[in-house]
Amino acid sequence: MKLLKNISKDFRRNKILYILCIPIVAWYIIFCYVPMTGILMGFQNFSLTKGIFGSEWVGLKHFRDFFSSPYASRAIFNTLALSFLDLLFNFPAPIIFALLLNEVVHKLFKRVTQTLSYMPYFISMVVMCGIIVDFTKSGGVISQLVATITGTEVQNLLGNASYFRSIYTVSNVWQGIGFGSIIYVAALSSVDQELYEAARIDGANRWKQTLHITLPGIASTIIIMLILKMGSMLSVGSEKILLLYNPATYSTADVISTLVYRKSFEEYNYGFSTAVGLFNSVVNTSLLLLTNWISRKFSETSLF
Amino acid sequence: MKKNTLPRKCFALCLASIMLLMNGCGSSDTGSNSKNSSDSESGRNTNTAAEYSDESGKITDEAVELTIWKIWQNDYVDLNNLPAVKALEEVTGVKINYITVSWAEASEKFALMLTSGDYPDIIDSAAGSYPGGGETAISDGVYLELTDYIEKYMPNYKAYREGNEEVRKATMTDSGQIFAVYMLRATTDGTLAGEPAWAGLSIRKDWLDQLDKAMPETIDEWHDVLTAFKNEFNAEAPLMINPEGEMVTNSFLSAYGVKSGTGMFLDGDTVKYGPLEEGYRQYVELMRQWYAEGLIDQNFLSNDAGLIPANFAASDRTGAGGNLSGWVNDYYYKMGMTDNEDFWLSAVQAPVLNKGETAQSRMADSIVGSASAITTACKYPEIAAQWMDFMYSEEGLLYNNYGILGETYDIDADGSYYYTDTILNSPENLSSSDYLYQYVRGDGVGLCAWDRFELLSDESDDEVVENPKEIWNSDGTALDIPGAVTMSETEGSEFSLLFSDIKSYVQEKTVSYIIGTDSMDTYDKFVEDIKGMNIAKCIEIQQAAYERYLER
Repeated sequence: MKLLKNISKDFRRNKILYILCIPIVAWYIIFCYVPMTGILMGFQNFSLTKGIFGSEWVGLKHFRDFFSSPYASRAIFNTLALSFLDLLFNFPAPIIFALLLNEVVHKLFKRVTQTLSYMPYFISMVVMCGIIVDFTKSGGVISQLVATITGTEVQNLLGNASYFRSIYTVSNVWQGIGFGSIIYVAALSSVDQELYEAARIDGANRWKQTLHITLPGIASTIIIMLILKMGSMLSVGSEKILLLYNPATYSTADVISTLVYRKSFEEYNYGFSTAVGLFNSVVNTSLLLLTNWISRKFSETSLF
Repeated sequence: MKKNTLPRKCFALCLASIMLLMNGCGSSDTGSNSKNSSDSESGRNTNTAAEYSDESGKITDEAVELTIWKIWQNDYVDLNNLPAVKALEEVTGVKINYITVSWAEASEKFALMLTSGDYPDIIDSAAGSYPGGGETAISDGVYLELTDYIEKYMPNYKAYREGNEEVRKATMTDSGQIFAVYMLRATTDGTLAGEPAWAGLSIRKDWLDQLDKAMPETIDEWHDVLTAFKNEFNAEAPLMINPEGEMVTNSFLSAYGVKSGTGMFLDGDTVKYGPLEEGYRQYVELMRQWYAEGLIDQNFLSNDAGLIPANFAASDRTGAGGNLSGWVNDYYYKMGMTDNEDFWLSAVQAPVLNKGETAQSRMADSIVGSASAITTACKYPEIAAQWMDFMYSEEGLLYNNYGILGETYDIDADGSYYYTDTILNSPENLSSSDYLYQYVRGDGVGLCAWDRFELLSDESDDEVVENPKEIWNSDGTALDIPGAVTMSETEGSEFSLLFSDIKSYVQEKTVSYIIGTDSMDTYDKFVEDIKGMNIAKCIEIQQAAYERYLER
């Protein structure tokens, strides 16, 4: 009850602020919390005309159907593998890029590089995949490059399951590095210049400066971004994979979302896809909470 | 001095209320409400149905308006304003209010329409997409059961059904219920006829002529021809196949008596699954060998659909592959995609193992098209039925396919129909057949006279142009399971749950055998694995469904 007393005291003092909040809170309640009742669809044989409260209850049937598929475990493994690779390469890349940019002295060069690096981000997914397909065909630029480097003959790279993860990750890095670095560049500019001067007087070289001043300075930003990223581990982009994969690469490219797509393609199987989506969300949320807890334990930064 | 904070507070309040209002509109509501759909039969007042007059076509003198839900997309006109549609309203005396949706949003809008409980009177051509099937739609109280209505109010449609066994079976469910009225394909004189094949195998005839070879018929001859294409013309991809390792028209598979692994096929009256049969192994071995020899597109995995892409055909990179009927012969030259005036992509029959056989590659001729249903929300179901039946009369056919007499079409001295110059001289950016849709409704409930397209196509030169559809039509359809075979809701979901994984597995392995990642030694295990995925249950379900269809 102390909480309520505090809130009412604060309300009287800052009435306007609370009123300002109303639209946002209402938006979240109406569009994010109320639709959560849709989760019930995952446990029903959902029928459009009967609606949520009239459809037949089937309990865990959809979950059982999903996990009984011989491909479920492979799909989950691939999803985690692709997410992990994405984390491993696509997470540090913008940070390193931002650090490097920070070292550039020539203002014009810095600006031009930054702007050019943003551009790939705005290419639409479909166009991007079209480019990738074209470049990795047996006559394409990238496949010929790979052939000369590895000494094997030219092949259709997208037809080789072992290349899929690399193609996916590298194209993600290329597209995301510029845009992702924006936030880090902003964080870097907030690091106090006097610290650098002090370090230089103490005799630190550029590398030591980076290690001891820059990185700790943007550490909180990095940790927050990491926690947020963990929250989407299982939601590996299915549109991109759908456009790039083919039966030859199912073994490494088939993820949860593409499996569900194939299974309920022709039917209006809302129940099944809701169930898998629920599974995704539960895992993502637990990973998010776990990472947040770890970060709270070992550093002062955490999301909540 | 205390600052006057009142203006600031007012401003903040205004901002808050504006934001609240703006949030109210725009975002889509993802929650679903469950309104009960209207009860069936009981409680509806029966109107005194006006006499159906064959001569005038007038159905009712009362001012009746029917709402029809239809997927229709036209950037130029609204369906409700089409001349032929308006003319029909006058002739039948029934005002129609079309609710149109575009193709892109069709399935979403259909689902929304069902959930809202606010059904139109008639659902045109989309009635088959009801989740769970037509019988579920009747038991859910959404569609009307139409057997009585057809009996009493639809003499034309009834005559067509009783005159053709295939049509009769395809337009009803296994238990004898009728949940929809189906579009029927016919020729302009009203005779039911399935549309001939509009896609098939094609090959560079001018290359064949240069090599002085005849049209290949057997697999061995094809091998010969493709090797020659590769050697003589440096074709990068002599034969194009689709990303699943097959041809879009089952062209080479059918030579071995099987069909693709994406579905099942019929052997006599037994349902079988391609990959389990010996013929499929032979096909895979053939493709594997041809791939190794470089006769098949090395990038087939990255192609869509397996139809010859224009840039391949026009630039001499390929010699043969699947194609559409409008794109063969010298289409590429006419469209300016190639400068080679000898370019000729000729339609060719599917190959066979031994000379003289016919490949059974085609899907069965379909007379029966999309389904249209009358919903329980319709207050005048008898009038709706009569209106639909009018579309199956000669007059209805003419209005929906040809338009207005004197304006868009005319009758010849010997009684044959032809399009007037209004249609044939269509504006620049539209073809005649596209322009016709600014006058007539086209496909929908009723008769679809597909031979009208032949009247609309540009006059070709005097030279005799071979008709690709005729060539492709000479392939057989014996392997095909009729499209009208349906499974019940529970059967269907069980089937698709098991079958989708089997399909994925078959596609994966077929492709890996063709490109050589897996050795053919593991093929036996491949077949065993399929059996282990419970393909027997799937075949059983499909067989039961087929047998029920036969007994309708």
